This record gives sequence, C-alpha cells and structure tokens, in this order.
Amino acid sequence: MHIAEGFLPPVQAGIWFAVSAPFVIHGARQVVRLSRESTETKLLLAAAGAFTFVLSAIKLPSVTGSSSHPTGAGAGAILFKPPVMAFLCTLVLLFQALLLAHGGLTTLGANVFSMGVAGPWAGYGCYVLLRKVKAPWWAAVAVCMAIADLATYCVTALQLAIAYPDPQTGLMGAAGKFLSVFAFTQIPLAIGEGIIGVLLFGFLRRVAAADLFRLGVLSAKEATHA
Amino acid sequence: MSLHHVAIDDAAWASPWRRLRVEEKTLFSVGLILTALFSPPWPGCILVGIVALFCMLGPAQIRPRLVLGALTAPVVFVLIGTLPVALEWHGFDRGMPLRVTHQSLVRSGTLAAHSLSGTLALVLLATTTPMVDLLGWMRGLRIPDPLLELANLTYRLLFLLLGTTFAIREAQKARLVDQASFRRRWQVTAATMGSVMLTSWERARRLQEGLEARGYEETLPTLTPHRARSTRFLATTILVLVAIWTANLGWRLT
Repeated sequence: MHIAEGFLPPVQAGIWFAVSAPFVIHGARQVVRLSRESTETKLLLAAAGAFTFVLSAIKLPSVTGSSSHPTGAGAGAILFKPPVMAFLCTLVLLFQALLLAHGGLTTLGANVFSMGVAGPWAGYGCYVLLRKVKAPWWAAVAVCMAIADLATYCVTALQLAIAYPDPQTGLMGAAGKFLSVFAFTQIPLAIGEGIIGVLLFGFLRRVAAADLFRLGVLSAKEATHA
Repeated sequence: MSLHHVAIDDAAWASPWRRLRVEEKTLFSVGLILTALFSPPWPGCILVGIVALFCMLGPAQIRPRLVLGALTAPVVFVLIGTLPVALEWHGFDRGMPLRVTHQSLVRSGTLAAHSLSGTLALVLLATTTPMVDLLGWMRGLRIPDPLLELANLTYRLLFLLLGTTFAIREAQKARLVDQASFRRRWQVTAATMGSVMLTSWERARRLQEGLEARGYEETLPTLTPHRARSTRFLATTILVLVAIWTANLGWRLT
C-alpha cells in the first residue's frame, strides 16, 4: 500500500523527504561500503532489490477475496538489516513508481519512511528482542514480518491523517478513519505475511542454510543443525 | 502485478518519444506533476490530466488499454484513500456518526483531482522513458557510482526474476495448485518465494562470474545514444505549463 502521486500537500511531502533523507543516506553509505568490500555483495544486494520488487508479483491466497501481496520489508530486514533496507526500499519504490505507476514521485519520501524505515526497524526490533529472550525462530520471524507490515500500514494511515485531519475530531479521528478503512486488507495481510515468513524461512533453512549463515541470520551451530 | 505492468517498460522502449532527451521529458512530466500538486482542481488539475492523456495517446503512441491498466492500482488507492476524507466524524449522540457533508465532498474531490492528474503525468514519464535511460541520465547528477550500479543491476535482474516467477506460477497452475487445499496453497506460495529468492542469488553469482571474466571491477558504464536537443519540445513544454498557470490565474480573477 503506497500513497499515490499528488495525495500529500506539497509542504508535508517535502517534510517527509527531509525525515526520510538521513535514513536513506545512512543506508546508501552502508551499501557503498558493502559494495566496495566485494563485488559479490553488490550483486547480492541487487538481487535483494529485484526480489523485493518481484514479491509484489506473488499473490497471497486470500480469505476475503481481495488481492494482496507481501511487502518484503520484514524479510529484507532479517536478511540485510534495516539500514540497507532503507536504501533498497527507496530503489524499489522508485522502480514501482516509474515501472508500475504505484506510489509517486512527490510522495516518495512518505512511502520510503513507512515502508523503508518504520516497517523494517519495527519488525527487526521485535525480531532481535524475541531472539534475545530465546523465542523459537519461527515465532521471531512471524512477529517480525507481521509487525513490519502493520507498522508500514499504521505509519501510512498516520501520514494521511496528518495531511487530512477530521474537521470535528482532528488528527485522532482522521487516524481512526484511515486505520479502519485500510484494516480490512492490511490486518489479514499482516497475519498472512507472518505465516508466509515462517514457511519461507523454513524453506530457506532447509535448502539454503549456508546462505543464511553467510548473511548472519543463522549461527554456525544453527546452520549445521539445519 | 501482471504482465501488462512490464508492458509499461516495453511501451517506453517502443515509443517515438524515446528519441527525445531524458531531461526534456523529465522537465515536462515533473512540471506537470508539480502543476497538478499546486493547482486548484479546476482548471489546473483537469488541464494537466488532459495534456498528459493527449500526449500519451497522441504523439507518444501509447495504447489506451495500457494506460488504463497502468491507472488501475492508483485509482483503487485514490478511491479507498479519499473515502475517509469524504466521511466526517460527528459522534454517536446525533444520529449517524459518520456523515458526508458538502465540505467533505469538496475536500475529497479536490484530493482525487490532484492525485489522478499527478498520476497521469507520472504515467506519461513512465510510458515514454525506459528506466535504463533515466539511470543513465542520473549519472550526470553526481549520484555515487556504486549506487547507480546497484540500481542498474537491480533493473536487469528484476525482469529475469519476473520471468521466473511467472513461469513458476504457470507451472503451478498447470498442476492445479489453485484447486489445492488452503494449507497446501500457502506452502506453495512460500516455496515460490523461496525458489525465486534462491534463483536471484544464483543468477547474481553467475552474473558476477561472467562480469569478472570480462574485467569488471567497480563500474559497468553503458553507452548512451546521443540525442539532439529539441528546441520545439522545450518551447512546447514551457508554453503548455505557462498556459495552464495562466488559466489558473484567469479563473481565480474571474
């Protein structure tokens, strides 16, 4: 769910660009550092960007009949860490705007903040916390994926509420309205993404444990065990 | 997302406007986007929409069906997004808690006009300028080479992965996976995602080996075809933007 072109007032669109910029610049620096370390990492990051884009081509089986697709923010945060995801999401959102007309150029800053900053950081925070308290990997992955999705959706609703406060009840009333309207698709989607995350990482642990070890997702002991 | 979305890039490669310089098309489209953002719905936004549609269907020779397909997702978002703006909260004590008022309708209509006209201007850029051209143009904007390189590689890989994804989906459909149990369909979706991810890593490794064998170290510059500056296009751009703003001003004064 990306905010469409022209949906935010000019000043707010500019503010969201300014808010997202430090995260994107930090992510870009990380990407440049990793790319210079080895060519292989650069190509792996390119593959990750392409994969995040392609995720929108994979429809989730839906209970409500609506068409939903994963955002990949949680999976990306686990695999490549949130700073890198801020830059990769910027790239993916730019591609989605110019190749699919999803999102927009003036709303890019706001979309980057919700999908590339808030989502990955919130999801990854939960993942690290759950791993620290020795929660099972599947619980940490499910919570990370679901929270990343929910955080993206909540921040998007809040951005829209700030832009269009309710004349009677102000920001809170507008936030309630936007959250309610998007909840029909986004809550089932977040739960779905949590389930798909568990199945996806289960699949990767079975067939690509070495890659997960190289990315720091699995410890040596876990990789050997997997 | 379906194959028609990939067709936006195909249309951009085939459009006669590809012969124009990227900076000229960007100036025109971004000028229209900003005009849509800052103008009132009438006449500014409506005129931006008409100009963008005319340019796509006329001189840029984009198929109407493609334009319709590209607009589907943004239109759905605009419809869903403007709904909360159209509804005002009045509390439970005075009848219906959510009501549509004249002001709320005007606000949501204005919002829809800004968004739809801006989206049309964005689609104009997307359907006339291939991503490769845009990335090539960005080299002149002092963006660090490794970042542009990453964007270029991502662009090249994503069509490969899209092809793989569609092939996997077709194979699954042929095996009647859509008729399978709910649980099985979820497992298949996860396996598809995992397979696409592993394929992307494998392709990246093979691409790296191939590039290293050809002396690849830091950058992979590609030749950009020389395109002559079109004074006519530039003059038309300025004329169109000035005309829309004059119409805005005229409407405000009357």
